[in-house]
Amino acid sequence: MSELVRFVARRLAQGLAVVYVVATATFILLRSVPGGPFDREKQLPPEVKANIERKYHLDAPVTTQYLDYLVDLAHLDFGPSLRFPGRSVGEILSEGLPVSATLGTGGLLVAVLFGVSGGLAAYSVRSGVGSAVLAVVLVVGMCMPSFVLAVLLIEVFAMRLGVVPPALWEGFRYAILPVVTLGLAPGVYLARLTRSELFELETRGVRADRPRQGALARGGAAQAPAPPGVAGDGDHAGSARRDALHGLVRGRAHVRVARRGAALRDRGDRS
Amino acid sequence: MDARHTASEVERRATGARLALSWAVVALLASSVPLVAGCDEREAAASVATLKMPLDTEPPSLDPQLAQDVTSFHMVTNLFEGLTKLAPDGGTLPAVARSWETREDGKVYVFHLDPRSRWSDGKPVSAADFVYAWRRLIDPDVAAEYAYILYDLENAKDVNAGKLPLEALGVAAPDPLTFEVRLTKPLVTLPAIAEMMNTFPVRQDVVEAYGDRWTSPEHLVGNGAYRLESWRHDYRLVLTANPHYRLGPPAIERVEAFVVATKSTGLNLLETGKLDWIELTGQDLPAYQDDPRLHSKPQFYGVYYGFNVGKKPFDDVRVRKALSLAIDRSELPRVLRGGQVPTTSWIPPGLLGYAPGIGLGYDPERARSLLAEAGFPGGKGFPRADLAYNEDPDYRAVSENLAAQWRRNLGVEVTIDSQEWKVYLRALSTDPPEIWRLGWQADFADPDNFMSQFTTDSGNNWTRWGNARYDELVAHAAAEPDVEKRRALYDEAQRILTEEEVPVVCLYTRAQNELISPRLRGYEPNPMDLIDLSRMSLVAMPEQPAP
Repeated sequence: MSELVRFVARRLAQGLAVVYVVATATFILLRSVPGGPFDREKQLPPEVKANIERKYHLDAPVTTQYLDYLVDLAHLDFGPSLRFPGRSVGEILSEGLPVSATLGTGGLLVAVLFGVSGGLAAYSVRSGVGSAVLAVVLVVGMCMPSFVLAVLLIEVFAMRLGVVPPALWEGFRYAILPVVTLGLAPGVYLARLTRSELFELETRGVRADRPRQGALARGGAAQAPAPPGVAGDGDHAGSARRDALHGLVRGRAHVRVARRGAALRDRGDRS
Repeated sequence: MDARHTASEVERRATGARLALSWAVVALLASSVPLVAGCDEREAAASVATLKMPLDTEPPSLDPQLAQDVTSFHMVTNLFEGLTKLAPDGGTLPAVARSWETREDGKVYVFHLDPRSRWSDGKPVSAADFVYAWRRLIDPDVAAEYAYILYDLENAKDVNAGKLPLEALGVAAPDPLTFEVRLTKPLVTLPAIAEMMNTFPVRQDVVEAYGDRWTSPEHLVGNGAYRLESWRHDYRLVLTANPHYRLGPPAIERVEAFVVATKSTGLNLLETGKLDWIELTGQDLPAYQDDPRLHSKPQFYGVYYGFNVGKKPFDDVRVRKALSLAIDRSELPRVLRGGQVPTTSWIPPGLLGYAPGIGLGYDPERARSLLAEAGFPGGKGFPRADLAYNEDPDYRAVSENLAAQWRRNLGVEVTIDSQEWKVYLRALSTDPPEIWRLGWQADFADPDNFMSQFTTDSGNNWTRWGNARYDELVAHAAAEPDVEKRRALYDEAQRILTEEEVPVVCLYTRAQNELISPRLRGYEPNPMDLIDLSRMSLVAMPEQPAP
């Protein structure tokens, strides 16, 4: 028990140290890059600039500013927004959260529905045109960056067919495109997973490389955020090798490269 | 073998549990679908008489004294009304002030307020509200960036620097319908300055009761044609007609302003009937060249390249003239494709003093001979100069075009240097490069706003150039009530700036290109980008067949 307490305490202390170092580095970096928050194409008279700096306490010595900043952070007070006077940073964060949460859960819903049904279909249809189509869909869905998919979906369903709106957030119909776009990539991933799990149920005998798969799966999970809920450590190169797609995706190297690409892409999307 | 089996059984059961959890989430979500779907009906009912307009960003502030950007301007000018307002042609119209006159040789302005002016809660607008607002603009504790637009008022600079109390500012309300302004010198630009949102009245009781939050929908009291009904940050503001508005409630009852950050998204929304106008980018413009919905208008926004006259060889006026003469400015609108208007002089088209004949136009022969006179025949021996600009696709295209023209016409090579905005601004204010780019967008519709930028002690003159005669002409023109005399003063000043001394090369004024839905009437794109919703109306359109 005391070991557990020590472990938790150590991790907490490490976490705090990291937060402190990051906060300090941010503070130093922000003050060493050229320019201030009130630089404009139109130069401000010195009197006006002095008033603004006093209002935001930018006229205080740097050490005082630093201490104030740390004390405020400790109270989870991120201060007034320099861009949006009259709104606190905490407020700005909390306003965006519900929409993100709706999109996230909606995306998960699509991923699960598409993933499980797609996986079942791919498992039961093993030959002929249907199987080839499914194979193409699963590979293309995995490789397609979400921003390309979004543009395609908008062009087809909003602009040409006119069945859903191209943007805004005014009700249920407006959520369809973003949710589908968000859910499709993890959905494809889940479909592959579902199918390989089903295959595994069928062919229990082949387990020779199990330990290595486990190691690989842990590595994979560290590289890319797995879809929440069902995914876990499930996907692995061993299954991919056994599955019907082995002609298209050869071996674990390809899978890992594809997943690393997906991880990079996801980070790129957010920037 | 057995142990492994067991392990994989455990794993499978865990997977099963996770699956069950996921389905629970699915069920939860499905139950909320009807709730969200209900919004669609509300939307359909509201869309009949609702104008839908785009905003480029979330408005940073709806506080007239603190707002400073164009998005806030689009909202504030409809929620509040100042003494005067901009006419679509760029002139000044009476608004809350029905009339005004000057006394003491133009050093005192007296504005007479319209007795019909009401706040959105029904109370009358009084001259005291203007006194409060103008003091607030100059109040050092409020720290408004645009405080300096009132610096020509009596004691304004000292009050803003905290050396004198607020009451010392040269504003007074001798009676509820008379607003008096005392200036340190005669100034003909004050009615135009009063168009700026920063001078709009605010209610002392509301500001003091709610502090920073007084602009939220539940507290905001304005005197404009519209009231703020709701504000979902980063998404949508809803404005509704103000029943107490001075000129009666406006024709359009409800306006929804959506924050649409991406221009291509705006275009999609316009094409699907979810917005009533959008601004086109230069990229999309060619495809809509013949569209009847397209409206283009030059803006009061000049773009120029400046020289650092402290650096060789740009201290030689012949070199500066040669570089200006070697630019065929008609190439710029072709490169930029945005309806820009090439200019050789500084005051933009539409303002008093605009003189298309002034400035050094394209004359490569004369450019070459001037460069030879300066000691660089055929560009030989001309040191490689830096041409700096802030990173932006338009300015990159302009910079590359200029470099190519100078190479072609003069044999002069420049190094193009693109910099990040803040880095660039710091360079300008400390050690400007040999050649650099900047622009100027009018704060108010008056040539003084452009010309005073290049006076010797102007904070925005990065050329290191100064000319006593120019300073005198600009100062004189700001006090000259006679329009023709004023125009002559600006002509002479512009000749010094763009023909004789050439510390800057004026290139073009920007244009605005809008696609406007045919159901919207009364929206006239104008050079200040003012959006006056009270002039607009919506007409019923015949049902369009689906494309």
